[in-house]
Amino acid sequence: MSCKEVDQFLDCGPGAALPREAAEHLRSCERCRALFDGFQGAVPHGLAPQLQGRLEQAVLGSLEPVKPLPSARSLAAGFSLVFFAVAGAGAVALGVATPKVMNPVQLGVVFALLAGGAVLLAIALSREMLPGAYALNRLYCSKVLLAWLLPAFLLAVAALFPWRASQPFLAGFPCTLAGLLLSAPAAVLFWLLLRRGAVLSPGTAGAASGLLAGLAGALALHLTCIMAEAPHLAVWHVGVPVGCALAGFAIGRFAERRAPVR
Amino acid sequence: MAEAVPVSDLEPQTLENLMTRYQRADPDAAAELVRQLSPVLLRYLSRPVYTRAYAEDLLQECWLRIHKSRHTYRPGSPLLPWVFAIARHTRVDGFRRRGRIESHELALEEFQQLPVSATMPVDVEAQDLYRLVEELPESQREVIFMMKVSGMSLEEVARATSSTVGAVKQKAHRAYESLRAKLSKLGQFPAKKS
Repeated sequence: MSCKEVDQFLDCGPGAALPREAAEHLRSCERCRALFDGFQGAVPHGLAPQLQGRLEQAVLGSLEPVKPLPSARSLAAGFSLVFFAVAGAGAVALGVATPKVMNPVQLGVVFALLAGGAVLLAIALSREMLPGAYALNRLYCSKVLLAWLLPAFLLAVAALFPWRASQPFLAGFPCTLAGLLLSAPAAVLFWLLLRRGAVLSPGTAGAASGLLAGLAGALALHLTCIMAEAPHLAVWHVGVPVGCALAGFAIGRFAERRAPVR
Repeated sequence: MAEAVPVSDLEPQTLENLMTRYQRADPDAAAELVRQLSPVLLRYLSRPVYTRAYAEDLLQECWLRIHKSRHTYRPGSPLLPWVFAIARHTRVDGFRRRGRIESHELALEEFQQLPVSATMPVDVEAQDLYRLVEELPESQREVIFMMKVSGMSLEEVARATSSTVGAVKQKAHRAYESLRAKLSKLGQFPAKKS
């Protein structure tokens, strides 16, 4: 057995039984034995009583019972519920019109992308609120979703919709404005949900919640806007989640920097 | 010195039970958690360039964060990834803040550096090894510390560091290689092809 093969047994916790080959290697290899023996004795000292007392005082001084947060699954359901409620209310308020101008593939693919992406983001956000509950599956990671969701949306728009402009380019601005106005209440509700947890990376959480709020606005626009053209969608519709994500990131970083320093 | 119990020797259930009782405002459980976790947290938060006072301030800040976030611990889930996720951010914030303070105050303050032995393992062989661990890149040092001092599994380290099991394993194995090379360089052991 080589030193490299022995490494897998170093990954095990202290006191784990070693197979015969690994034990033989340790007998013959001083460096590996030094690593194994050194790690076995890795016990830190205790604390000075004064420091111990200071810490206990800090914790016990304001000790009150707390109710544990709901599970990540319940929190994700909460985020999803807010998302679909805001997008649905927005679509109803603006008037659902796209089934008349889009074919089922255009309607279905973009809807699935926005709604599916939102559910994944909701799961990722719920885990941002619970320290140590980070998703080992990269599909639910906020940073990963931030990286691929918007390019995927753009790619779908570019592939499925005609590249023409039947109206002046700036005529699409009201769409972005309506999308941003719809996203604002969603962003407030997401912030209220987020602040219940312990957000350790405010910048990432801000960008992810901004993106989720922006997707709610974009979904409402997707169901109501009759300008089914790639340039319009790629700029004025995609602009809503992009703008919200950037705003969320800026707010998160601002809050991080303004956090009280002890 | 208060007697410390190595975290890795504790029954995981004990720590989790203490945390659940801490959430219910049991002062004995809170004090016991502070006693059991603080030595390992102080060691994790310490850096050779910090003064002892600064490392202890960071530990206090970490406990305040833990206290403020205690409702986010889910009963039944492993405690150490939750604690170390918070400690990790305390350490990163402390490092950034230290940089800002140093740029303004270095000339005014005479630092009394934290003696490495203050938070070092008791075992002499382990002390030698952990001096070498301090020289590793930050990400490798962190992984080795969590696995070897805190006794966390690969998956728990991945959760605490917002990483994947594969990435943690890779960092750990690179660290083992570096440590072997450092041991050989010290002249203690003959270099050997692995």
